[in-house]
Amino acid sequence: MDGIPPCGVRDREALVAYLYDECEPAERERVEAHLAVCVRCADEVTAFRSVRCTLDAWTLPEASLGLRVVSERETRGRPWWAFAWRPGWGLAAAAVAVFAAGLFLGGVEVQYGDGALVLRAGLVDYVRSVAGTSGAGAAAAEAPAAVEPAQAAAPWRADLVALEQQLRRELAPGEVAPRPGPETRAIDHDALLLQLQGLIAQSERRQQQERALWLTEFAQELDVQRHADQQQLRQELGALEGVTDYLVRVSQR
Amino acid sequence: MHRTDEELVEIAARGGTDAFNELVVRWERPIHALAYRVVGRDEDAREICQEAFLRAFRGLKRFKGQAKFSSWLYRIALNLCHDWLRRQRRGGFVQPPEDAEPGELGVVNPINETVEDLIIRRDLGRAVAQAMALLPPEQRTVIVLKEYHGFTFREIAELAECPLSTVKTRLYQGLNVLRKHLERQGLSMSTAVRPGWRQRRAAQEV
Repeated sequence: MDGIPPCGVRDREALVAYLYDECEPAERERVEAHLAVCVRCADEVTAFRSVRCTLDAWTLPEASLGLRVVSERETRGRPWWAFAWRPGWGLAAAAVAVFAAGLFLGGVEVQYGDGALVLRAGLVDYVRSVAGTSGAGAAAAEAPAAVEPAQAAAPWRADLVALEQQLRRELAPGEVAPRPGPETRAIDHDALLLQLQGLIAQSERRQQQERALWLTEFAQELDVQRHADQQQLRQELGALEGVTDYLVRVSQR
Repeated sequence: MHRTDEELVEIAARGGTDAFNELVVRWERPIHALAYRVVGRDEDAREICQEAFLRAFRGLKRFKGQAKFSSWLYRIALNLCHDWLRRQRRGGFVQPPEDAEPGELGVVNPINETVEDLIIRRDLGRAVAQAMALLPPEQRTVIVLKEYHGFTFREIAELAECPLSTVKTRLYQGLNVLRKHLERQGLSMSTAVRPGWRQRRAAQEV
């Protein structure tokens, strides 16, 4: 190549200028003449053209940037809920409300202590009072001494006695046997009371299990929903923070 | 009515936010594209893009029209990109480029492109992103400005604040690194199958 040392430092610049078609006609002719005799440079130009084609494959991510400058007046005029209310917040609030209602209906008791979180479902107070009388059941062990005064005035005791009397009448309508004396009556009364308490305790345990199962399922569903909501919120908050930060900085200009 | 950048700048400098917003709409994608390809991460590119417009808005009164608005904006964005890269280097870690999102395939999607073509293009795109990440920032910037934004050597020299010959040398060196990397990966695209992406991509990005 006339005036240009072959494959020297200046060749590189000339090749690049030729490659991008940013050279004078005279220089172009010189490079073309050189490429006709220099296989190495000709191969290099071909390879660079191939690389340039490959570069086209690097496309951009979908970007909806939505940048916008707003005046201070426009920012001030915007109602507060325009910033605060987003569909994600609504979903989160609804989820919390449903969860709270579930806790209330399920009679859930949550205790935290000794490094453990205890979640109990069911009519805890009621079970405690029943178990406190019978002296049996798991809840009884946890029932504090302070329960005693409450059980003395429990209204169900009178009902139980009335129920017992009714059952006695129904079970022995035509019986002519002498009516039991006061001692026998007291023994039967205690036995029946224990039986009834056992039935009630069983029923409560069953209810407790059902509620616990329902609550577990509900908590799982809620957890899944919460994760989905959190993810959506995070995305929306990220976008909102970006825009808000931009608006704040512009308005503070 | 179409107004030039300079007309919009003049109105915006007097407090016309709508005029500036028109400039934002006009230039946000190219600036985001520049930042994305220089820093290699979408989230950071968005921040850089946002910051570039913020600085431009603040500096409108100082902008006397000594250069084109777009060149001025590009220079702001490039400085921000280089600041970001310096912080990354100082922090002692270099983040790998993000993998291409599936959605990006829709950016340039010729109607007659088959699924195989799409997959090949996606793989090529990832390979290119990885190869570009290997380049020193100076070479990468020059290649991005030339290949994806179509600046002339002289414009690049002004933006990068370096001599014309340096621009050409960086281009040559950068292309050489890319060539070797892509050949090692067994990837390169024949000029014969070039499906006019450049024109379509330019139309989409700007």
